Amino acid sequence: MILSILIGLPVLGAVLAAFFPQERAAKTIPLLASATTFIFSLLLYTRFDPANAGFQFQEIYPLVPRFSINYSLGVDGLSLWLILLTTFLTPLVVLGSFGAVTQNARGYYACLLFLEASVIGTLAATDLFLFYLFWELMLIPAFFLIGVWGGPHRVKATIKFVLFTMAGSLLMLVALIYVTHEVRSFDYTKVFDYSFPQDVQFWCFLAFALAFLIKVPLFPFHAWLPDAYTEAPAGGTVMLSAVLVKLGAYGLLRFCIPFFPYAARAFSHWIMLLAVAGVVHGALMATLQTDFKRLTAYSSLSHMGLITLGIFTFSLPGLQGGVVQMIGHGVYMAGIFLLIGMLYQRRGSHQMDAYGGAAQAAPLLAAAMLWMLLSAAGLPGFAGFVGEILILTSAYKTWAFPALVAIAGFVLSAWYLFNFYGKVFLGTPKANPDNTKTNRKTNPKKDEEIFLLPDLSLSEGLALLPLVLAALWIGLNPNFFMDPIEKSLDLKVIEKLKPQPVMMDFAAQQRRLQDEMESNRQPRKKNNN
Amino acid sequence: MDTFPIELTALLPLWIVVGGALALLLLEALLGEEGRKASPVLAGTILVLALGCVFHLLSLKGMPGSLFQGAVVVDLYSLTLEGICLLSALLTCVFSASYLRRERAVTGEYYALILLAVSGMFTLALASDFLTFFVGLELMSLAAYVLAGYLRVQERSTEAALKYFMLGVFASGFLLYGIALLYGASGVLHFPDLRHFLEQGRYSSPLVEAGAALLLVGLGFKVALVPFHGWAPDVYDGAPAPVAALLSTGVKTAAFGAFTRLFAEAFGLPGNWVPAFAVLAVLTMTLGNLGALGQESVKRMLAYSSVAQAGYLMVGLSAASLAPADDLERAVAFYLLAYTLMTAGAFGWIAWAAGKGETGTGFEDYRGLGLKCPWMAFMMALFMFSLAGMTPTAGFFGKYYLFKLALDHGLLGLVLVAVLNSFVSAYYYLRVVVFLYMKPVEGKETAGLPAPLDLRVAFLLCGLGVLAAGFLKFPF
Repeated sequence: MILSILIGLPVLGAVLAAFFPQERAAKTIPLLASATTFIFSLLLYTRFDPANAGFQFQEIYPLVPRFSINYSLGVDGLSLWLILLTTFLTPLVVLGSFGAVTQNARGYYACLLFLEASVIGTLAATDLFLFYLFWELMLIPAFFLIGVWGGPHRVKATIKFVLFTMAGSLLMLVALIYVTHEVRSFDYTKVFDYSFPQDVQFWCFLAFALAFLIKVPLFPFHAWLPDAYTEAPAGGTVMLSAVLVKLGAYGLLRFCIPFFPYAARAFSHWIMLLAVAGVVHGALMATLQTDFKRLTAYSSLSHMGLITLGIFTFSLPGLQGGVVQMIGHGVYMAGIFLLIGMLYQRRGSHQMDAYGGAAQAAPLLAAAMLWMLLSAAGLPGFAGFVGEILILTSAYKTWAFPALVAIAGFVLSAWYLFNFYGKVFLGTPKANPDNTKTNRKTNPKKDEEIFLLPDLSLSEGLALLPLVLAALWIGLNPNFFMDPIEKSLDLKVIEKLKPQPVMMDFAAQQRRLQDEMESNRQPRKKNNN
Repeated sequence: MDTFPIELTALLPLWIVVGGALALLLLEALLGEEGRKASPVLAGTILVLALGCVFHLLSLKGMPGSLFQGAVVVDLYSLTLEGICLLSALLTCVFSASYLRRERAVTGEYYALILLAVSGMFTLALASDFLTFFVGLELMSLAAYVLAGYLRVQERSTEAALKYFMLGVFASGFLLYGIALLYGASGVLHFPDLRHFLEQGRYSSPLVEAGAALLLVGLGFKVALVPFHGWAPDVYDGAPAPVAALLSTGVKTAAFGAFTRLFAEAFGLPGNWVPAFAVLAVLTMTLGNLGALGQESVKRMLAYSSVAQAGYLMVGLSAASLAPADDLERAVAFYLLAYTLMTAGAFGWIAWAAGKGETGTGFEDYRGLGLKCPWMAFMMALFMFSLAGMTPTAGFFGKYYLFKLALDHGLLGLVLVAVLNSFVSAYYYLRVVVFLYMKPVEGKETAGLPAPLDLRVAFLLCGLGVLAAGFLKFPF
């Protein structure tokens, strides 16, 4: 029941938020709903059994009985942390949006909560059809979040985002129909145990991978990302960068690689190359930006390339590094984009020129930003470090060339991130270009004060504090995150990838069948004795 | 009900609707103004009654099957089609009530015509021989021609009626010719007899092939398949919006239902039809979508979109000769239900939002409506998501079943084209949502449109149907 509650609570919150007429309720209801969801989700961690690689907390109800489509949910090591990341971030996003979203706030929070619910559903679904339902459902709230509450070019950005994602999903749907017809079941474990012929693997892998790689996004499919990240409202960008794109990586781990291991091995070098191209391309583009939200968007692209690289090393440390990096990336990107939203709210600009010396006016804000940027740059002891090191070392062992190029990308990353920090927070304070508009409400007395840049408010501080702590916690205690998922990664991904010809798989299946038959016979013998 | 002959009880919905149509006409003549006012309520009641009957018949254990010496067949499929047609007519009645009041064109015969059209749809859905089939088609079409030109003071409406009539009659000619050739070749009119005849191996007769091809062309005209679709955009665009809802859903449902039955049951033949159907499907989807892409009027966009949607149905129908008739009919019926909910809803929404004289049907006219009338706009957004085939709406499930049917029988290329098309279609459907919610309002603030209670209820039911249809358990 836990998982259904985790999906149901945000939906309930969204419906209530949408129907309550008062604007005040529009804030408290979503906060309460998402916070309760987070507290409930802690049960997942406390009751999770790390020794069990199968699905836990399982629920199965028939959904469309005629086609044996089930509403079946379950969690294993692959999805555990991503669900917790989602439930952890959503209340913070809600809290962080209190000041930023004033128009149609009810709709905004409803969309946010719907997004949370569909993300959790996507992560928890163990029925392929249900997975697809939730996967596509994510598009609708994200479409509204970017398109209604976004920046000046929001319409173009949101259409681009939806169409890119849809193009991938539709091809995945065709492959999904094919695969489930072949296996004659939508059940994840049934498809997981099935071994497809090589040519089928080839095409189905491409169709599935395209959907996930567009979401991640991998280098040539990333055109939607800079626009969507830049135009989305702060909360929307956080959900996109911290949660939604992780689902691409999750899809690769959950479906693509274990279902089509032969094809995954065949394509792994190409994908590693593209991932590294993404790392470098993102980093280079980031250095060229004058708009710091766009800069961060490109840096996020660059870091996601690293996660893909880690996954396609097909080694346990690489995969673990990938997962830890997903969590770390989620946390620090959430922090950075929330802080960018707060800066924008104060001065109405994402241009680095518009700021300067902000650390003097807003020391807390500057400190929080520095903290998050240090994590992003991969300083030892912070969230980004462990994942990066694990990924780069295991990538180096698998194939040295991309790893070396990726390291170069990372040197750049430190450069552009601190360039951004220096330009915005250090130096001489700059006047607010349109001081007449901003902050009249919050600080009416000092209206004429042209350097005005208020520090964090209480709700903003509260939203950032858990992120700051989490960024440190991930850096200092990565084993906390790596241990529970080791078994799942090993058995569900690595084991499947062991190079065995497909015919061998068939023989193995027959052997397994024989084993099962024998094990069925044994207890009978005992009874006879 | 045991005391009544089965012919009475199994066809009760049809008797109710025909009787209702005649009663409405009489009422108009006898009561004048009073009857005129009561007619929408009466028509609605009659339709609800008939719907109740259909539900009762659906819940029965055994189906009555063939009746009247095989002229009609009452089975799960035909009853389901009847239900969908009733739904479409019921929605049309609700949309029409406030629309006609606004246009100052309230008459009783309007509703009588709707009921007559419905009785034609029923006959068509029930048809199991060519005569019944043709009578049903003509009954339905004649009422539909008049309805399309109902607002006779409007040039668009008259033009629509004329175009609809001319091409409709033309199509009937093809149909009749096809039927004649088939009768000439086989000497039977009854569908199962024809199947039996064809199974005996005399299929190679060129008369049969020509007859079937003519039937395909005639039905292609009726359900607006490219290249026989020329009339559809003008008619759906020119007819009053509630009538467009009926024409594009109820009429199409009945025609497609009969189409499917004819080709799945009467011509259940190997291979031969796949290329013809596949080509029609590809043309219909692609040209329908390309036509819709460039439109600046939402109503005209919907007109093209309903052409494109017929293309998706053809993707499923392409498997007609490969898949079991049951599977095909189930997939088609579900899609028609989804299609009726979302398309009728969308046309009804236009009827509400376009204002007096249907002057505001452009994308620009709906700019910012989502903020003024959030719930009504949300319903339209829901219909658009469903038409675009996004989860978890009925439109997604409908497409899924059709594509699955085609893919399971090896039509991969066709499904890829269909998927590509539904990707293209997402652009123009989402454009409506973009205008509703995401475009800044420029110029003067206009007040939100008032929505009467009956409309709200109808849209709510439509919206809930769109959301829930995929998860409901259907008897068929």
